[in-house]
Amino acid sequence: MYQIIRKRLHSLLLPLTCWLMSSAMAQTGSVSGVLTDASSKKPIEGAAVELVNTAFKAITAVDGSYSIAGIAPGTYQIVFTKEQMEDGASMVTITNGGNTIVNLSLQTGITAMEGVVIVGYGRQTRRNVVGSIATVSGKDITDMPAPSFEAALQGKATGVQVIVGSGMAGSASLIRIRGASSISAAGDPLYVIDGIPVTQDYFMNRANGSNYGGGFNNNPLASINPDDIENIEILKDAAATSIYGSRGANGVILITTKRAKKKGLKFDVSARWGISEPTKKPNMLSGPEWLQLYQEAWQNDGHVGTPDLSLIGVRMTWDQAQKINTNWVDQVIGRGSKQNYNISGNYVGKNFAVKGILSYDDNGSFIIGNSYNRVAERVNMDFKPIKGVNLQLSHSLSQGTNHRVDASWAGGLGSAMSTMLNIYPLQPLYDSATKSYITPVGLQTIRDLKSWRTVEVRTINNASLSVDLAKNLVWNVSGSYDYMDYNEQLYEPAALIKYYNANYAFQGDAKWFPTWTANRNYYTTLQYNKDLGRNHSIAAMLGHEFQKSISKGKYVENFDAAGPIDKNPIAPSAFITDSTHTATAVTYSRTPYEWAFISYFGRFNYSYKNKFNFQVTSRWDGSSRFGRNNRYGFFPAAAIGYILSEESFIKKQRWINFLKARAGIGRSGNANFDNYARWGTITPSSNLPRYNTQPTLAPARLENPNLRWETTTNFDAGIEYGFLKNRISGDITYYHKLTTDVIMNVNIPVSTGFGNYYDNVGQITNQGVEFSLKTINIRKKNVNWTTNFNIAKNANKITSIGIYTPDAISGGTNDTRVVVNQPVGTNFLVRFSRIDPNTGAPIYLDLNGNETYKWDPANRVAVGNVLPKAFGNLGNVFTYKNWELNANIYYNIGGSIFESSVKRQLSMVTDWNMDRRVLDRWQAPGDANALYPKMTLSTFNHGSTTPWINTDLWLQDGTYVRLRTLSVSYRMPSAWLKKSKFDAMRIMLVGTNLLTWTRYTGIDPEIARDFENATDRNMSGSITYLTTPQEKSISLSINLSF
Amino acid sequence: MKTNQLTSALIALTLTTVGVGVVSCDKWIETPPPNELLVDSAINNADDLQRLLNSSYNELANTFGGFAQMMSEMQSDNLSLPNNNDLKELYNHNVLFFNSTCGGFYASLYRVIFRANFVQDNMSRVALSQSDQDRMNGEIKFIRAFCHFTAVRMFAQPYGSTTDNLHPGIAIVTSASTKPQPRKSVKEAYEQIIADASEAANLLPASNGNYANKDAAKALLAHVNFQMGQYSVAAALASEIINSGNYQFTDTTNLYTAKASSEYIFKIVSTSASDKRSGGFTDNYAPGNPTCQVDKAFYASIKDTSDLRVKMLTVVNAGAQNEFIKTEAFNAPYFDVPLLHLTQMYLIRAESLAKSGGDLTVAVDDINKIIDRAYTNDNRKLSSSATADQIITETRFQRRIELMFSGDRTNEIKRLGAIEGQNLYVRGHAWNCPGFVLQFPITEKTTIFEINPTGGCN
Repeated sequence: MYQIIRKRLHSLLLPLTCWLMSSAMAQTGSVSGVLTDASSKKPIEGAAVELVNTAFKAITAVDGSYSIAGIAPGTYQIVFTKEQMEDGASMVTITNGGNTIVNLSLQTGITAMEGVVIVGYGRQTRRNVVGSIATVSGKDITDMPAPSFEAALQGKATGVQVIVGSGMAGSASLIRIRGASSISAAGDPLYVIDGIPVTQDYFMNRANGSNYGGGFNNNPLASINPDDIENIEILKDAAATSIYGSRGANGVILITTKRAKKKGLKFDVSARWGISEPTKKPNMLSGPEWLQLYQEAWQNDGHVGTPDLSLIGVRMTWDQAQKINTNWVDQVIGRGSKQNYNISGNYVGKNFAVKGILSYDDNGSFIIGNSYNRVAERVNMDFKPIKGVNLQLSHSLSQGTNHRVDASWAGGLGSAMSTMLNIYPLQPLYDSATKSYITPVGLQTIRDLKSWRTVEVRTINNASLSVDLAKNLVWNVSGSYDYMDYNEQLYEPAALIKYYNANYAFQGDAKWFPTWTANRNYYTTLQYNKDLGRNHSIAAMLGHEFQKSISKGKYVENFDAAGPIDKNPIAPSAFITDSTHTATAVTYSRTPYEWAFISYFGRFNYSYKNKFNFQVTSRWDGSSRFGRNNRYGFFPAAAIGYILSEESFIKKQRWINFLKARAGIGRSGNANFDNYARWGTITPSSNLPRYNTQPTLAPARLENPNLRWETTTNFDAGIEYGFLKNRISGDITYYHKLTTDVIMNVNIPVSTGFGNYYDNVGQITNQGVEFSLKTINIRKKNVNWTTNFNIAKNANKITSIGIYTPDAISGGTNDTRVVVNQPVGTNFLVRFSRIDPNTGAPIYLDLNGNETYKWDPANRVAVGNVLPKAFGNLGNVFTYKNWELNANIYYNIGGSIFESSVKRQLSMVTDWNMDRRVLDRWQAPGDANALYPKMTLSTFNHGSTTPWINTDLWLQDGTYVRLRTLSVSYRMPSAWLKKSKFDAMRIMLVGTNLLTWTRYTGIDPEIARDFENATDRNMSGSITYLTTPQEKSISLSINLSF
Repeated sequence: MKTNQLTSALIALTLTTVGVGVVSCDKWIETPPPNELLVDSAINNADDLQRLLNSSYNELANTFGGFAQMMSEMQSDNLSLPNNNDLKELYNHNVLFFNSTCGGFYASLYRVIFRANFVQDNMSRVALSQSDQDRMNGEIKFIRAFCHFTAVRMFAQPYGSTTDNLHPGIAIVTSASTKPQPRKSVKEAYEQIIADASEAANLLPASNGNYANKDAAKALLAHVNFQMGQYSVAAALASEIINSGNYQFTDTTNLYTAKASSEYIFKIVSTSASDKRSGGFTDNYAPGNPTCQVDKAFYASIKDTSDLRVKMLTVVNAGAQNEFIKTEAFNAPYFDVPLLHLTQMYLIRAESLAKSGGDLTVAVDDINKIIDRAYTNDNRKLSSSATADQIITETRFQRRIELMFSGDRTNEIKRLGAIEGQNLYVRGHAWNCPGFVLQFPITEKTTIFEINPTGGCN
């Protein structure tokens, strides 16, 4: 694959370069200067210099000097960037034949005010940005060991809620930007890597027919190499996102990969080793304790004598059970180990620059047998064959292998928390009379015998050409290709299957679920920048984009395969269906799916005296998913920024260094839903039964010609500030988002003949305040102390669900519903009142608040919701000489946690093991303070005619504070570096999740479980069902530059 | 100079690219689902329509192959407490709106209707002969009337339980749409059912293979009128069918035998063991320890060694604590399921004549015909001088045995309560108590559709 791409690039490049070389020079001027460090006054080497919105770039030399010639006369913004330094910017006027000198000094560290920001199809200087954009540097991502790169965004950007996935290797985080505004369309932000909205399907393993999700959603971002990331911009408001039109409503995450910056040949090497454990272990009953509770339930239910375990399907005798006590949790949880190695090379020549990155990451989780390892390479090249022409090529190839084990409801740790009673022995008991095992097969036996992995090969490639067509006019064309080859492979040998089916006569069962997704986009833009005299400047951009994604897959099963899955990830021999191999393999095709967008967009910026900045953007999107009456949507936005600190009356206030007010309003959409919901289809006769021996043909889905994107109208107003020599800086923002035409996969009345239907119903509002503060508490020669604080408060409300009722949408089996005037993901439950002290029976409340012994779902009310009231981060960085101590504390205030599984772990005795909290149950008349009702073997004794009932007894406050990261690092001093010929060297010790403070009594209060579908993902965050806890880890890393 | 040329070339290229995009973009974003037939291209001829209509019958067969009958029977006093949680709620007259068995049953009724309506709405796509068009329209309306009738009897308080019948009925669905429908009154429901069934009776041919024919529509109308207490209309309709000579009264006491009977007016067809459409009966009644067991009080009330029908009931584990009674009527591996048949017509006519002051000699003959077939002796036969009340009493007794497990009993309890003013109770619950109707699935609830009250009877 890699070779083919290289060859193609080669053949593409040569003629292009030759062609472009032949152009000639126009009348030009130049700019030059020296860049220095503000504190040390030393020259800065290797900083990137760039004229914004042009192809002109340079790198500062050892003496800090730079020079760019051949620039068409005009006024430009010149920007300087250097790692670990604040960015610098200045306006520069180029005259014909003249050389303008711009000398600048940069501060250590990055403040929010300056620097260049990627804004979608272009870049702007931070001070002139009128939208709400947060930037996270690549260093912040790589410094934190995380299951997947997006987890490291937690706390880094205000208003960006990141619920880190579980401790399972490679698990996906749940990211919500400024609350939840979607219900059945995906609520995740749009991820754009180097210009292409990448494939991000969390339910791929469901879509290709695999029901073997194994209690784990696939993570489409896991194969992205964190070491590739230069920085991440998070676009939050309409001014920033509406350039992404029908896909921007839930925010956009723009990822820019690293490019060569340092002059000459340079290398960076890093290595990290770490260990991990769960944040907290599940605390289950021992065998004898469980038996005691069983006996109690047996007696409470009116039985006498020796308890009979067969009532709950357990085939052991009471005597057998009493002799065994196995701790299944300990059979599953161990100590995880991680390692990560990364080497990158950088070369910047005269017309050519290249960055190469090679990484290996092996993340073994604390779940025994579970690990994710990734091998990744990247080559990013920049060619500047002639002045005014810049060609960028970006390429990455990675292979991620997830060694899977069952979790949650599917087994593994989930079983240890549920169906694996501690009275079951390690090796199952065999009953020779019935010739079958009477206890379940042990968890480690399953783990050892079953081979299961997902192998994902992913390549993301981009070629981008920018040409200065004329004075102030730049043409850019970009083509990208994102290809994902996702394979899930499972093998169960006869030795395992025989535990379930003694008569099994084959060698073993192999299953393979491959999915191939090819995602292409192309866009072109024309940018025009013009300085209209001293006070006015304009910038305009027009663009066109097309994107298409095609996903194919199949399901191959070989029911008599020798196994194991061999080393070739693409076509293991067990699955080859030709006659030379085996006739026992069967292929089931799955319906391919395809989607496409075609778009036109434009942006116009006007700047007055570099003080007022005004921006209008708009985008027209056509999508294959929209119904025939709504093929195109229009998404405009307008915003204004006013840099008050440019005004003389503010300038007089010496303590104000920077003050900017900005406001914007605009529309963006969400089009991430079912690809084919708009089509009316018929199920063909071949797939249907005959009736009366005659064929049938049945309508499968009615056409929805009106189906369209959901629309969010977003108002945003904020102030950015810098006081006291920028020692106090930050921003405060208010936003209001109104989402209409919310896409809901409605459970429509079945009297229509259907169970559900995608339709634009409903309305959601989100409004909130975001506040961030950065203070430089100490800025001395040897001692620095910086504090970063941010908090975001969001109020979410569903304001309409059309004619439907709360049950029109259900968050899977988690009892979250859509309730008008309540937030998305409302816990809709029967209220538990108290325990009858005399009988131990639970007492519920009816709709009117009267006590009742009967559990009836008609009495459900809104009792909580999954969204936090506020969340944020407190970060502190202390540096002393070459030492740095960095601590990040993440906090989440409010929001409810619903423990969906405890109805069997804390309530009644079933064939599940129970949580030790159940020891605080009602035991005898007069027990007035027991937390949990009496033990019973039947919910009839808890007032219900159905076996599993949810009440708000299982609902808790989700507030927690967590020491997300704590790190200590040491940079080798320059004296040592000079001797050693290294440019830089750092050693760091980092711990994650070392401490958590919470009143939640379950395992881990930060919950992103495996979800059933996009609706469940939107509605059921912070609901746990045998969910694996997060990991806490300690790692040691070394970074070297030379 | 060269730069200018290059510039022009690139601008031209850009404009061209953008231009091409504008012209053909609709095609670029047209990605129909592969491997699926689009409605627009799948319905091309009469055969396609026929297949679509056949899928409605297929759903009807899946629903009425015993399942619908059991759902009704479970609420009556013919069966004992089942060992299934969902069915227990029916038995106890307290169906919660999450009851998936009940919700699934309700959904299946309307899926049949949807598929019939879909044929109706797409009929204009295809050129059809007038006779085909009439026949299909007749079948669609018959199916629709049949399912709406089932729904209104089971999900709403009965006809006659209020004087104006404006109490909440059901959704009436007469076109294929995803638009939720309001809950219409029982009166409106019966009006629609009668309109549909009457039109079907006009449109349908006299014979139509295994599908609905003219007599089926008339027989359905007879049932509807009987349920409404419109006895003279019911009697006339039943007479038309009996007198048509199209159906012969047989001497078998078990309707559910392997193959077709000359009594059948409309039936669900099972063609082989692998095409068994009678599973709703066989799976619930035939197993050794079946879900559906006969109520002991009911058994005691009909126990009669001379009754061949009662002989089909077996007492298992007699005398033991786990004693139960099961029926052997559904033991055939597969069978056709009659939904409308001649015995029903005799029972309707006998009672209707007696109720409406009709010819009592005909009524006596009708009921004696059934008694003659059922008993090994003549003890229960009515004399030709039997009074209307005697005829009614005997007909109701015979009806309960004759139609036991066919889903008739609950409807009878409702009719006797609502039309005949009897104070009937089942397990202490009055015939019109809130829980004596099935509950809708919760998703049926909208601002225009209020579901039935929760909490059962008491």
